[in-house]
Amino acid sequence: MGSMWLILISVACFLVAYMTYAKRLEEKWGVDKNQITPAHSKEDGIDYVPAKKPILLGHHFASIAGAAPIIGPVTAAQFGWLPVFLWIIIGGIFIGAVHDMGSIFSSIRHGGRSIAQVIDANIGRSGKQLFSIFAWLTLVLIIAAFMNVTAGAFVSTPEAATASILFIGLALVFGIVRQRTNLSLPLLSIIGIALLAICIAIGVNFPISLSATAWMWIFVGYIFVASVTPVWILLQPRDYLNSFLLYGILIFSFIGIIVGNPTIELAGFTSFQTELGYLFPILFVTVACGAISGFHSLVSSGTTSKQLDKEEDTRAIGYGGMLIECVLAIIALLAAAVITGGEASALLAEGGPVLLFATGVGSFLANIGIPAAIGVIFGSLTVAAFAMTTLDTATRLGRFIFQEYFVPEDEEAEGFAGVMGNMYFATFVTVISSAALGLSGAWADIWPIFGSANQMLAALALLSLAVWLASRGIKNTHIIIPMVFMFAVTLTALVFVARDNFLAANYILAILAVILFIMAVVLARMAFGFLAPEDDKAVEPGN
Amino acid sequence: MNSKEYFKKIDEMLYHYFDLTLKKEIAGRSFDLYGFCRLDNERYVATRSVKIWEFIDYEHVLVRITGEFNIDFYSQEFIDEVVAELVDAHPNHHQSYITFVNIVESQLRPEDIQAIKGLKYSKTFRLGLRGWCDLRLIVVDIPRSQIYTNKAGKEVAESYESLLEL
Repeated sequence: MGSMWLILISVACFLVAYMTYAKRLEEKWGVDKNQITPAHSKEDGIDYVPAKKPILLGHHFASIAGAAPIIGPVTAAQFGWLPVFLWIIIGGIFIGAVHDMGSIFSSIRHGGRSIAQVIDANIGRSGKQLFSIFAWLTLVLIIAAFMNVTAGAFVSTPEAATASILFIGLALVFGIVRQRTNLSLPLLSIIGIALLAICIAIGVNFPISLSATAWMWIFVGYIFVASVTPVWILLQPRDYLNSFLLYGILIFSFIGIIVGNPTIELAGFTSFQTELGYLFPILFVTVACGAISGFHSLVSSGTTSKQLDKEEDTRAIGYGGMLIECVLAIIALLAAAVITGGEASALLAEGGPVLLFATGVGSFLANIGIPAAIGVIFGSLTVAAFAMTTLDTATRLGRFIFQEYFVPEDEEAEGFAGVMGNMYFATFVTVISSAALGLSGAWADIWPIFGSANQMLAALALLSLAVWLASRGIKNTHIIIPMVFMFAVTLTALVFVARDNFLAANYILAILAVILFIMAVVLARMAFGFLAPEDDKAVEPGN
Repeated sequence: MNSKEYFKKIDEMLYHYFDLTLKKEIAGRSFDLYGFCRLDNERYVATRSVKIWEFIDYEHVLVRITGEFNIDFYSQEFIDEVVAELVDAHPNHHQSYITFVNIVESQLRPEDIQAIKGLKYSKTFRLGLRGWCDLRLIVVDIPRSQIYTNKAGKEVAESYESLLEL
């Protein structure tokens, strides 16, 4: 079977869903184009600032898209391409995009407040501290995992390592030139893209070969510096240039698939049980950002809802943004699926999911005249660039949580608290902890808990959406069904995680899984009574 | 349009985004109007209290009306003193603009115009890690209804030119 048909089918499904199902949701939920959004009613020039749809879509998409919609599908392809393909399409259309759109819409009808704001305002100090410990550990895990994945990619594709280092240098120069000269952004962007291509060309000729451990320590140094340096020096220009890599991968890979129509080599279905575990629930936890991810509800209700110009923009930004990410996930899946089984296993062993993805991308780009070797570097560079964005964002966030734990905002830092609250010390502790976890390999045991927690957050966001619709007298079956499914996925995954860790004598992880399980059950039980629509409530605009 | 009318228009233009003070002394010299603007840029996650980065931009507008123009007023030493008084290069400082707006009631000479265009001042703090400060000079030739600026002032010249047309 040609992969061209799969990409066309998926894009067609997404377009039809956007024009029909998403429209139906608008009508059902009472999206009102005349309703004033919090961006206008609360406009303050700080948080509440209306933004035009294309710009907000760009910001929202950049916030939700990262390396996850690439790594997830490539990893889950072990089950065969068909289950992953179906999950991305069905999950994306009926769960993920609905979740994102619903998170934005429910937030704007609550004055732009986010789930996190409500929690922050209502839990006490002990609750916050417990949550801080959990959050910091999760971030250390994310940093360890991404450092590992990127190190693996650099070992297997040293040309991409060179290109990535040059890319960082390019970002630095770009930022300085943009800040300190009058050159226009469009002109600078064209020059930047051209120089990016040169970075790749240099990488081809001057690969840097180091061990995975060496790369891990380089990353430790890099993320330490990147997370304490002012953002305009590196982070902002790098993220801006990253966006061109992302759009480039999407556009060139799509064209390459259409032109070359590469054959799917991977079996449609391999086995219900693989190295990863059982298809249910592991597939639905592994492929998160490409189908549904709880993290998106934090972005949707945290910042996007405060900038929404009109209620009718919710469909394009919430629903549409998620579907674009689903397209990226489909491309990632196809990149893995066009490689024969034997070669795929070898690539996974050599360079992990990044190398497998990059090799697939290389074959797509070869169909449009770009040498496969260049395409492989381009693919690796893109994933590495996004992984590095996640690395320093997670480090900054981890540092903040660490500092705040020891020195709450309204207190002065002295003595022990002063040391723990110091920016450099907090960054150092966070980075070193991540390095230790990454180098030990223990992160691989912990990752399933993180995946389960992320999907639990999605289930909880759907739960809150279902309860809110019920309070307005709106039938919410279309939310309850996905919600029940996500709870089933999460709870089953946590049962397996707890069992496996108890058997392996990893008691801390096992207990953590049990705690998350109990939390999810208690919350679901509490909300159960509120899920039925109230028949005597009419749907009033503005509610 | 006379200098007082133009001054009033500047006041109205700056009013919405600047904190304004009339008759302010800075670095030992008197200015008819001082405007201060601070722009906070930050990124937070989930809630506003979880700030993962922040940087702040500032602009200080110093307006004076004079009979004639004198480039010596904007000496290196004086500008250094102004910067020392107004700019605080704290860890989140990104950039500060010092914008001198000189409303001149007599026509500028060609050598004045040359001097205005050639005036340059820029200072970085801790090799740029604490940002930088740039000087803008906007000179309003009331008799000719013309604006002259230094290179840095060009990016805001249009705002001041538009006031002459109103």
